[in-house]
Amino acid sequence: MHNPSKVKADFPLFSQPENSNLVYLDNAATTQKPQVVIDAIANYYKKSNANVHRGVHRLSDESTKAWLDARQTIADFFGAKSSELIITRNTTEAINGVAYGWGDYQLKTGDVILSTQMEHHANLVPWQELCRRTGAELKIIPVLPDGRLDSDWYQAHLTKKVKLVALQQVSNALGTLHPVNWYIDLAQTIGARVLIDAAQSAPHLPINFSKMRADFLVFSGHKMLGPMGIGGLFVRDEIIKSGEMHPWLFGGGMIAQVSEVSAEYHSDPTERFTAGTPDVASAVGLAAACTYLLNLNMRIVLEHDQSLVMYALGKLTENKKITLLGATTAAFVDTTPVYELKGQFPQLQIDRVGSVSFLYKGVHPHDVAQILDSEGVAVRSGHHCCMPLHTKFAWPGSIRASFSVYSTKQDVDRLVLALEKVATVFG
Amino acid sequence: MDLHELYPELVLEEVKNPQNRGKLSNADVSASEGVASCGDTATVYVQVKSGKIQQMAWEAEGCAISRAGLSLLSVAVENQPIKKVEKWTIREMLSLLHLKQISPGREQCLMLGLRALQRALTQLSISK
Repeated sequence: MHNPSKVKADFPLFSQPENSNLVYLDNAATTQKPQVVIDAIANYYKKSNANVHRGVHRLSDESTKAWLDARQTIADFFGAKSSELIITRNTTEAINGVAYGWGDYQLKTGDVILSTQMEHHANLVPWQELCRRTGAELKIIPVLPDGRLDSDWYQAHLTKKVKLVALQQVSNALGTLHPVNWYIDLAQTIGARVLIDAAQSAPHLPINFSKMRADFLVFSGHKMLGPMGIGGLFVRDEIIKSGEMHPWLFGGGMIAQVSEVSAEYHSDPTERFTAGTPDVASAVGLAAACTYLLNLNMRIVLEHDQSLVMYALGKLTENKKITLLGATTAAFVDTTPVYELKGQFPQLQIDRVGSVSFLYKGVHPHDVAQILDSEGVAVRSGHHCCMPLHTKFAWPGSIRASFSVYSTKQDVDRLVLALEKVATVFG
Repeated sequence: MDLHELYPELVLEEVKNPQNRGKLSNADVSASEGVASCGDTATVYVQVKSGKIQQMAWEAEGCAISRAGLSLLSVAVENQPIKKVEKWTIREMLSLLHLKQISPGREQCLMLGLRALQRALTQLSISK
């Protein structure tokens, strides 16, 4: 049984006197860090700090071992091989890496990239730029009013010209959980590559990269209890081995041999895609976060998330000033692609994970968030880096409450209570 | 932050009864400005004569702070020399809204109107 209050005690931020009244519901932006993550980073710097690979002394060996062990732990968490993992600063950098390291070499005029209307800008703008560079065309899978994607449109537009499908697993703005395997299977029938943005799914549900069959999978460490400044890109082994994916950052560490005018790159992919000194401390911190989550058990983490999502949807419906956005009822109908999710994740009560978002009648989202803050409730307001989504539905912005492993139903109750204050200020 | 400090009566009153809201059909210049982080937008319309702002009107999609700011700004700049308004900063905006301070997250909301107005004034000086 998951006990979020007990879990919360592992996160020192919540026990600081100045945060005694804090209800933190901005976890989709970034999560807090457990003591084990903070300790792992501090201990690395206290005991093992040295540059990796480039020394033969004891400390350098220790640091190298810490780096390689951390990579293995992170890869294990995602059900991937360590050789498939490229460490980046975050999801955004990982997606840019695919654009530069794969897209620039593989795409040409006439090719098509499919993305969606509800992507985070990180999974949209790099493709706009890639199209500008290569002459490829970006087409956008529309979002439906219920916050789900138009799967019919996708099927109709999946032609031989499509070379890449770039899709989120979970929406950061609406929480929608997409049946990504269905999208991947279809894309593979025409030989298109698929990139899955797991930034919002990795913190909440089990992911197995090898079973998922995605070609690329990207994530951020700081949204899954790890430190800021580290994330990753998984690239399927054969794409790296065949040379289809190229390094996009060049310099020290990633080379085999260098002459004055040319260089050969390292044959080991772990090295080839790591130019310059890596952030070992953050990798160690992220590995500690992965271990922490695995100890909680990702299936139980998902079950906990679902109980909060359903509870929040139910409570917020009671306030007549509030309009919920996105999916509010489950739709696991056996004639739709969403159906497969239920088999994959039996814990699901709705195809929505991690957050609830809403509008408050007559009051701008920023003002709602400000009033909630005065009651100690931290939520996010704005377009959540999803301007095309907000433009489509003419939302001025939206208010999002998002959860993590330490979020409680009492946190949701405090949110609901604080929302009553909005009417007293802007009544 | 104390709510009353951010939403003093004056701000709430301006939100309920905004001044100079709408288009200005005989404007000499208009300009739009947005807040990248939240998507809020404002357009200002300005009529000028002999180096002074005669009238300013505005349209906006934004929060209470940005709309109250636009409303109070539109009143404050009437008959003010363009050269003077061009130099206004966050100090003038805080004072207009009766605010002692503003959090970093809301600064852009407060400045939305003045940025749009100064953009319009810059366009005017370029086109001359």
